[in-house]
Amino acid sequence: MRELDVLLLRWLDEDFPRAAGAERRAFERLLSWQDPDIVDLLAGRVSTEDPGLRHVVERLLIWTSG
Amino acid sequence: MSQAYSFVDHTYDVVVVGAGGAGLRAAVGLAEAGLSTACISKVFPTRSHTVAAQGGISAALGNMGDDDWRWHMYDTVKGSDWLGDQNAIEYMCKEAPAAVIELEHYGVPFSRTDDGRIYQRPFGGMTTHFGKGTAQRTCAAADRTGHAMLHALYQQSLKHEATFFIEFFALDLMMEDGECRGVIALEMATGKLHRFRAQRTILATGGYGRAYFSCTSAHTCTGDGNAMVLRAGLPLQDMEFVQFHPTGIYGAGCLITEGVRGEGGYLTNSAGDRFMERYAPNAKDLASRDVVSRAMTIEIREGRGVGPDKDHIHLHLEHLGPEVINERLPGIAETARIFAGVDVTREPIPVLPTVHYNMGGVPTNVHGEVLTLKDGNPETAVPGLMAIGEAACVSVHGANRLGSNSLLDLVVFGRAVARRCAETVTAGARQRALRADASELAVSRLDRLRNADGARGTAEIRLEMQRIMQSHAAVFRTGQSLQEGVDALLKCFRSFADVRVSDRSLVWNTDLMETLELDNLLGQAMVTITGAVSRQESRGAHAREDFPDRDDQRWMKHTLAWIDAQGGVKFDYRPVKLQTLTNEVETVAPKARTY
Repeated sequence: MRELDVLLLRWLDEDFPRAAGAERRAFERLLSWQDPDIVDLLAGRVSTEDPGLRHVVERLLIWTSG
Repeated sequence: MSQAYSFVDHTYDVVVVGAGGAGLRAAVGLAEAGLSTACISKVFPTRSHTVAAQGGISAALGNMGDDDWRWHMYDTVKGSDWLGDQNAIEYMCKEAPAAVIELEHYGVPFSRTDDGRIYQRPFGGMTTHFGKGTAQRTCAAADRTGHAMLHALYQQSLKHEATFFIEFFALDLMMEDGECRGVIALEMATGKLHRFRAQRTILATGGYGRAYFSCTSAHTCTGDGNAMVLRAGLPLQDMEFVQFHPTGIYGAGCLITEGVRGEGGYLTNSAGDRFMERYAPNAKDLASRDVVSRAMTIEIREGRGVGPDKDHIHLHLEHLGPEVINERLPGIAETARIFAGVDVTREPIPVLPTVHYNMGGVPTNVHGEVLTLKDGNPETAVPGLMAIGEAACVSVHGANRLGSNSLLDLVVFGRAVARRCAETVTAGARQRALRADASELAVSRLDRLRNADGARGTAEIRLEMQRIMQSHAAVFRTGQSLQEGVDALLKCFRSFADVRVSDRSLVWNTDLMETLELDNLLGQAMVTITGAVSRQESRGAHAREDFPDRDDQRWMKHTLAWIDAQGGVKFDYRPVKLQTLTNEVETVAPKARTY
């Protein structure tokens, strides 16, 4: 969906190549979520107990707002 | 060339290309009918673009007041600006209630009324009593209708043992003497080429919004099936009709669903005027999408746009209050906050008409059988080939689609194509061997692009194409601007011969995938903009300033467009079917279209 193209691709292009292994694995865990659930997580409508995921979400939102 | 590559060969009764709403609904019906069914998709099924459909699916269930499929048909014909085929529209509107109830039985969790029936909301262009009242006809699963449909249909497909080939990129049809024998696909994870031989090949590959710079479509919407049809020497129909959704978020392009206006949201200009009252005194903000998009464009062009550059419009929800917004439109507040930076309970959302849907596509009859013009007969079916959904042009949307008729189109014609196959395909019938050159088109193209060593990058050519389409084939069009666009796009099209692909592998080669998709987009962009030059009238989404009126005498006909390898486009035409399918309803006679 377009929302995820906008939210994920910039980070994927710019940050992912430099990301540490744990951050990459967290991103892969994020991709196992359903698309609307990822949007909800990024929108703050749902939360996660997974600190790695929380970190990736923070990074993604930095790239989106930037 | 084919000898240089090895193949994994498959034989099925039917192969479906695409696993969005249409492809999955077809796969359910095919597998349920006992036909061996392969469904190939370049993305995981529940990530198909149908996932983004929030607004809902139309059906005259009458849960919220009087309704009748004939009123739905009237609205759809009028919405199509009398380019839709009335036999197909009758079929779709009449089948709608059963198709929606079937979805409910498959597990789609539709929103409910207090007494437990499916809740239905108003949507643009949907009326009662042939235009006199406002219909509540659109069924939704909160704001996740498309996602819920994909899940339910994917689960049903698996239950009936359809076989999925996921992250397989379809390259080309295998055609033999005008008959489709199947399709060739690249397995992206391994680089293996797969040949799918089948009695029927069903294209359910969606639209090609990515031909434009600003669109609501995901990156995957590249119309791969349409392009395969063009390369097979077959025509596409009515490609000049491209729908701009009134409420794409300014800048990001993300969609604010029409359901917002259905729930009472409205548009204003820089003076705070609810300008739609002037353009559509009855329907106002719920007029048809093309009407609203044009009104917004006029407001902006006449200096009444909002923002520092007066280049967009405001969409208001503030007056609805947090309770209505949270209950009926739960995702909208966050979407607006993330992509527009606004709090919808306090301030309006900046919006702009944004490319959203392609009315044109592969011409088919109501059974989903692909048609071409042969020996003067525009109803000639192409043996073995079918198409459904946004990829197809059946044509139920004509010159303009009504909101919530898209999901309906997917399920009604997904069912129809499965029924047709159940009637005409013999399960397990022996299929003759493919000809030695069956793979040649796909493989020679793949090999050429994989080894392309030109001067222009894929992203550079794509951006040029998108900007040309955005500038020259937009909401309002003139002959001069369109012709300039054709000239520029032809140069861009031909520059593709000088494309450069840097990665030569076949495994997860995103550079190659994007180049194959660009190749697909370029052909579709060419027939779109050239068709727009050719059609000298205004009808639905095709608004020519130099030909401002609809011209039924000359142009009540479907455009058929073929393209050659050099980008040359050839046209012919098919008549619009005004005759209904049965005598249960009368033809909706052409008249001026006002809201």
